[in-house]
Amino acid sequence: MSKRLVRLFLVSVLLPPLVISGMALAHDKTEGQKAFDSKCASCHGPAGSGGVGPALNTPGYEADEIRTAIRQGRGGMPAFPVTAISDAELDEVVAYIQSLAVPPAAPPLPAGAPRGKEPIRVEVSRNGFNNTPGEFRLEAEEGQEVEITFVYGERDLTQNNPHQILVTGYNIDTGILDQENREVTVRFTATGAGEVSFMCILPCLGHSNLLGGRIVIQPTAKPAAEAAGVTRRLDAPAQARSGRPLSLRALVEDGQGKPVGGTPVKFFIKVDFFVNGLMEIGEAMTNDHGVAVLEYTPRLTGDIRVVARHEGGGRKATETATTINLAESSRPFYQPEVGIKLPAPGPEIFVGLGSTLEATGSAPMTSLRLPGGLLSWLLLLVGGVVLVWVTYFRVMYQLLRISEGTETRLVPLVGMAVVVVLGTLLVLVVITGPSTHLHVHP
Amino acid sequence: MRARVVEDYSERLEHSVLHHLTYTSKGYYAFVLFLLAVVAWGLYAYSTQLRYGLIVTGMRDVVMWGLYIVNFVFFIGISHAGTLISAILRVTHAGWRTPVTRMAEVITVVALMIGATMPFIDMGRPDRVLNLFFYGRFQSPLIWDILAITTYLTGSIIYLYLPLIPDLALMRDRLGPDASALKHRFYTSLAVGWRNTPEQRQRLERAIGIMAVLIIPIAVSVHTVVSWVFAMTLRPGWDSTIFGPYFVVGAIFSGIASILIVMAIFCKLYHLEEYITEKHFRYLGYMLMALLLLYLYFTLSEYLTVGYKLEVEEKHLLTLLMLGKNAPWFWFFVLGGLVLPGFLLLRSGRQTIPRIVTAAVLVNVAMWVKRFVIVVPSLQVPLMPFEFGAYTPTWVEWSITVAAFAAFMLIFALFVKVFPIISIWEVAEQHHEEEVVAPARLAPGSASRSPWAEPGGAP
Repeated sequence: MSKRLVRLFLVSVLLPPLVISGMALAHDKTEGQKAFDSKCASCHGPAGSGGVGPALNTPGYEADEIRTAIRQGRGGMPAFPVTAISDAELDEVVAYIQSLAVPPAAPPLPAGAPRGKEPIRVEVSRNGFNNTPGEFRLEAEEGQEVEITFVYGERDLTQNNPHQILVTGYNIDTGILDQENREVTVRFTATGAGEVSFMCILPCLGHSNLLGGRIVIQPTAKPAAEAAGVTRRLDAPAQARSGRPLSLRALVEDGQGKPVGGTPVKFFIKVDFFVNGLMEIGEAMTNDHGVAVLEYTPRLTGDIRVVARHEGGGRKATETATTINLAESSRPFYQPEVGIKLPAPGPEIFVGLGSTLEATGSAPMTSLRLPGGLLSWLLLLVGGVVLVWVTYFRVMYQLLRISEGTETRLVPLVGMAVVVVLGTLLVLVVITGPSTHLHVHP
Repeated sequence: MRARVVEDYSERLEHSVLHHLTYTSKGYYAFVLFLLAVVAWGLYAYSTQLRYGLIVTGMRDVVMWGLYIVNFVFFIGISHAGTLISAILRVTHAGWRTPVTRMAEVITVVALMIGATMPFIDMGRPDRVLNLFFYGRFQSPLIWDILAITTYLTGSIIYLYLPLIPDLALMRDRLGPDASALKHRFYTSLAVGWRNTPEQRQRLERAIGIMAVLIIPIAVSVHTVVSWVFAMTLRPGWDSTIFGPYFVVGAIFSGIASILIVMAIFCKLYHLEEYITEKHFRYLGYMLMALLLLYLYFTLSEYLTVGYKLEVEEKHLLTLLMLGKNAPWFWFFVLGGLVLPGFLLLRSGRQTIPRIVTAAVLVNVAMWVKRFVIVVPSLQVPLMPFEFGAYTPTWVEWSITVAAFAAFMLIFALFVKVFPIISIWEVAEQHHEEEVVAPARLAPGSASRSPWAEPGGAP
């Protein structure tokens, strides 16, 4: 009797949170998002933020356009057949991609200061940056959030190659060429006066004279040393997923509680890797509201201690810390290059169960896969193996003919059987294998 | 008169080869017992490894390949002795090959059997070996290995077996009435009803011809693929584009040395001096010298291109090889395997056979060491800023290595008790060709037939 009461109590207390968290989890990831994360995000970035492939979180993609691109491929993008993304999944993915175009919600803390200057646009042409031959310079101001967009006017300049622009000395995500708009944008906060250089880190065919240039950062009127302050608060999401970018926001105020702008804040995480200690993950300048924002993509899981440190301009450095709980990522952080994609002579032939390691948790059963169909490149190898083993068989057949008319035919017959069995087995080993990375073209 | 001489020759040949199949000395039994004891000790060592796992070996997470893989590459290497050399000589109609081919082919089959076992001994979980077939992907060089070695072993067994058939028929016919029924059945079924009819000869010769041509590219592919297990990685010392031909040349190099050693042993034990003469040692000595120069060239090319550019990891590796703890191994390979045998082979004068055989032994020991130099130091070089790896083989690994060599000799010893070590019919035919047909061409009219060309078989 009392047991029943206890049970009822437990159920009534425990069930609602469980249901709610279950709903939250279910809501957390739709089928479309799951498929997107496992098959698209490796190129198009998490939530379609862009990567090797163009960003998808911009409006203007029609459902049919997305469908065609997935099924037939586009540019450097491989086709995803029904075996990789089912028809039902396809609709979900399309819906998810279209939902990405919604503008992001306003950040919780006061937004960064308006940029001191307009974003810089640089025309890239054969004559040089902005048609200027020789060394190219840009100017920026210390503490300014610099945004430079490089516009590649002529298509043959880039030969459809990916282009990445890097700014030396700044821990920023490199800008990657959007093949549609033919633009690369880099953003960074200029932290110190002096000169930095920017360059394209990929071989730029046809414009070797456009490798890079310099950015002169002028010191601001207010030197950083004056900006003495104390870190008051470090805001970070309590829950996040490893491998997804998140924002760390540190607030710096002076003794009177007034925000201190234009002063650097360093961010660290606590790591235990042979030694225990703080590992710097980046640095950001505070804006006029005294907030330094660092975009950070964690690679660890579990409870991670994050620390923001402000050197305090001569005074004692101050630190604020918070803890983030990082859930395990559903996709690998690292996507291997799969080599040169040779033109496939025919449609792929696939017999067997296609699955991913994540879905089954163990190696999936072996399946037959000929990437280029009946004219697959693999068949050259198979042909060689078959040729050799058919020759063995013919030699054994000669033996059988030698033994013709006698009772001693056992050895040739066994030999023929062994050759057939071993040869078939080897051919099967070549053409079958577990298919786990269906989005990767072999 | 001449026919009489030929018949005498054939009889002597049969006697000196077949004699050892029926007569067994006490020394043979003692030798086989000794080898069995060594193999049993190796099996005990392996059972220890099965029981406690790979922890009983010197292999660890950094240096994860050791003596087993060294033995694997070595045995697959000497397997080229055989088939490749016998096939090349057959295709080029080198008449002097006939007393040597059988030995070479047996070396191939036995060495392949031992070599192919080594990766399985190297496995921590040999019970999962079938996963290679169920889950193997053709993208993996290990699968290429399985493909190439299985194909080569099958082809080598066929290629060993085909020229055995007339000899097996001879033995079937020579078995006395007191031989056991099992023996009769064994030789009868293996001889596949060979009666030496023209049709049978034609079929057999066609089959041997096909296999001789086919086995050459397969043999080349095998050692190329073995080298790719290393060269498809970015490790210093392995990351090389010439590894395929480098390994193939090294394999033929050690293969010829192995034939020379086996030839010397059987020449001594079986008193085959009439058939295996100084000429054979000299000819194979020339081939050994040619391959030595080729291997020297590849070695120079490999280390010079790496040492000239000297990337960080390569610098570590070369220091380790030339000055560090692997220096004794490396310089033994250079001096004992290339320089000294080179001098021995080039020196003219008396005592040709001991000179050439000494060179061959040196080459084989040094080529085993060279495989160690390839496998282990590359793994000792860290790819990230950590400490250098260390590897000291344990008694288990040494025991299994010694047992592998003992097993090689054991299978060889058992083989020569059951099958003739010299291809009787080919040697007789070659002798007939040299002694009867060639002079007959000069003096027409005295035409004669080969004793083997008659229907009805054995004389």
